[in-house]
Amino acid sequence: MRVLLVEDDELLGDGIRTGLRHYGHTIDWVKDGKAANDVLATTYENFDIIVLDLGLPKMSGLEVLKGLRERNISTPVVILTARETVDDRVKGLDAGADDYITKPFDLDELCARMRALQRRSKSRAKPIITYANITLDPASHVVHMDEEQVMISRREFALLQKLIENAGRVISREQLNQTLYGWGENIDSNALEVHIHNLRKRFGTELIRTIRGVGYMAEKPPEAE
Amino acid sequence: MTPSIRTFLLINLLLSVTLITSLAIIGNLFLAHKDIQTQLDAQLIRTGLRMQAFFSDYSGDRSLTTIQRNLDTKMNPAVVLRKSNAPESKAAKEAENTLEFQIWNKDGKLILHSSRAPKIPLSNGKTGLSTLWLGGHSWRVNTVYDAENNLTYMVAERSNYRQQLENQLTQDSIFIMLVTYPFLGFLIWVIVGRGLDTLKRVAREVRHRAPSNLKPVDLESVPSEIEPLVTELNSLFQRLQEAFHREKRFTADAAHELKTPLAALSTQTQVALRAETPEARNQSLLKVLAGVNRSTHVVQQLLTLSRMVPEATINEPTQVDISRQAGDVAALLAPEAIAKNIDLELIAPEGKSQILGNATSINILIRNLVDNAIRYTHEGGTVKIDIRANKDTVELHVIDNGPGIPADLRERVFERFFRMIGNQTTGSGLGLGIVQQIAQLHHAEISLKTPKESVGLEVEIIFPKDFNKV
Repeated sequence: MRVLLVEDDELLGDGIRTGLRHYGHTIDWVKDGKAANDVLATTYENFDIIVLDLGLPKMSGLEVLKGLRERNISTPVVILTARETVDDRVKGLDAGADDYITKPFDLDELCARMRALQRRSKSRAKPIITYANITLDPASHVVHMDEEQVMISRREFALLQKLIENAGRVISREQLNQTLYGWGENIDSNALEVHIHNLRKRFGTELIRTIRGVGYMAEKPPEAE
Repeated sequence: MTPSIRTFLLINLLLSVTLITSLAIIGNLFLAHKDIQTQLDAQLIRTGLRMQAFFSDYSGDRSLTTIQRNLDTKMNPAVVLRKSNAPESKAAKEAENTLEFQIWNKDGKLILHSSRAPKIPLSNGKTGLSTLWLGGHSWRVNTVYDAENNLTYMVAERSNYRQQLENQLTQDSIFIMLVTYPFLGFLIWVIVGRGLDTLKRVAREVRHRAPSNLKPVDLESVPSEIEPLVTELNSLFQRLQEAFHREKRFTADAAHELKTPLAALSTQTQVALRAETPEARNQSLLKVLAGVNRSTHVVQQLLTLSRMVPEATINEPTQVDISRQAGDVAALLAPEAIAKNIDLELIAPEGKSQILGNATSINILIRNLVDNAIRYTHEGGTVKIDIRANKDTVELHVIDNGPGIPADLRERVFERFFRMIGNQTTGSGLGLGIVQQIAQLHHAEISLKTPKESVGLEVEIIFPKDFNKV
């Protein structure tokens, strides 16, 4: 998942970024409300989830959140804050947050909540993603094909999940690259092709179609419910 | 406790009414006395004239024996009325006290008199009104001399009858007063009570308030007399609310400031536990350590601040040598300055910079200022502690050539937990708040300036040598 982390505390932000990377997420980190607002106002940045602190310099987290919802962007938002009164929670959720976690928190729980929000935003009931004969478990990053475990890298898992969750829709190269790399990370221009190649090798060439000049697409599975 | 307004008003109003009514009654009786005397005298005169009219054809030969007999028996009011058992016994009794009269002829013979009139002349014969003592009674007499018939008429009334009349009037007045008194008291009680109802309503409103409800009492519903009280109350409410608000914000801020480092600690620890290489684990553990140091600093600053509550005063002030304290602080912080290659300079006059105060607080103040200066000044910068002793004051200047504080933020940096955006340094956000409180305890003036080199920050604190004289 591509996560936008909005947190002004250096040490905490660094910990969350490192921790979430372990879970295979791509993290982009901004340290004040205005920067977060600017990033979210652009159309070419696509995030799967936003982790938002409330007490931010320059612009409060609540204002960022309200601005986001006013622009009709439905990206799930987890508020991560030290404010724990019922009043604060209610305000946060009413401003458009999907979840509210108070500091200090457990990294595992944060990840589980992020997965739950992702599941809900994709209108999935089951935590396991099923596509034809392929199943993905986002919690453990384990992939099965015909009951048999298939070993793939975390980046390939993220790529596969992104394509399968959006089956039937073309995902641009830009969006896929955003799923794989955070800002400032070196993007190998061929890396995406290499990962797609690997996925096709393991799951069959017909899984991912190339739409020339646009991006890639997973076909809608014929027996999809 | 002061007695209730209601009782106070009741007693005092009743006393005033009693006093005024008594005066009115006395005045009234005095005037009535004169009026009564005049009226009764007029009656005496009228009666004298009428009698003169009745006897205008008297020649002296006619015997008046029959009339006299009738006067003594049949027409005697005392006799007649006693017989008839008239129900108006009071009026009958009054009727007995009629005027007495005597008619004397020229020979000094009493020719006719009322039944109870004495047989001796009621007056000395001088015409006109007179008062005289006769037969153990005081009489008011009108004497008329009829020159035509040579008759002298004397019409008299006993003074004590007149007195009785006046006494009756007095009694009646007092009786009416006594009867109306309870009504008056009751009315005062009710009216005052109604007047005080608004007071009760305000009291009730305040009594039924939740402790958190510090909204001002509506002045519209308050009578003008207690408006100053309610206004004061409202201003107290406002100050309380501000204090509550400040405390609430402080608690929230403190919670935030403590929880964020804790969250960082917990997250970094979890990251360390999951690290795949020893290097990665060490890196995370170093961050955990940094987090612990930061939390410790925040907790220490919070404890310092809680000891420096604005209401505190300096217990047992002693002579504190600011130069010496600054020297101690400089020695303590020199390693940090050296580590950042900062030139730390102390300019302090010996022995002239004594002020009355608390040594520990002064030390904390100087340490916070110098620590801030070192913390925020870039590597290779300068930090100068300059102490100047004046006649009544000692000036402390801490000057650095760091980034400084923009003029529009200089007020806000004293707020608790305020940190400037964009600096990567991790402070508690409490340092200048602590400095300000210690300065206030010592009645010192604090100001933030731009040094004359026009870069950096100069913190100037002017301590009075004896804060009691401020």
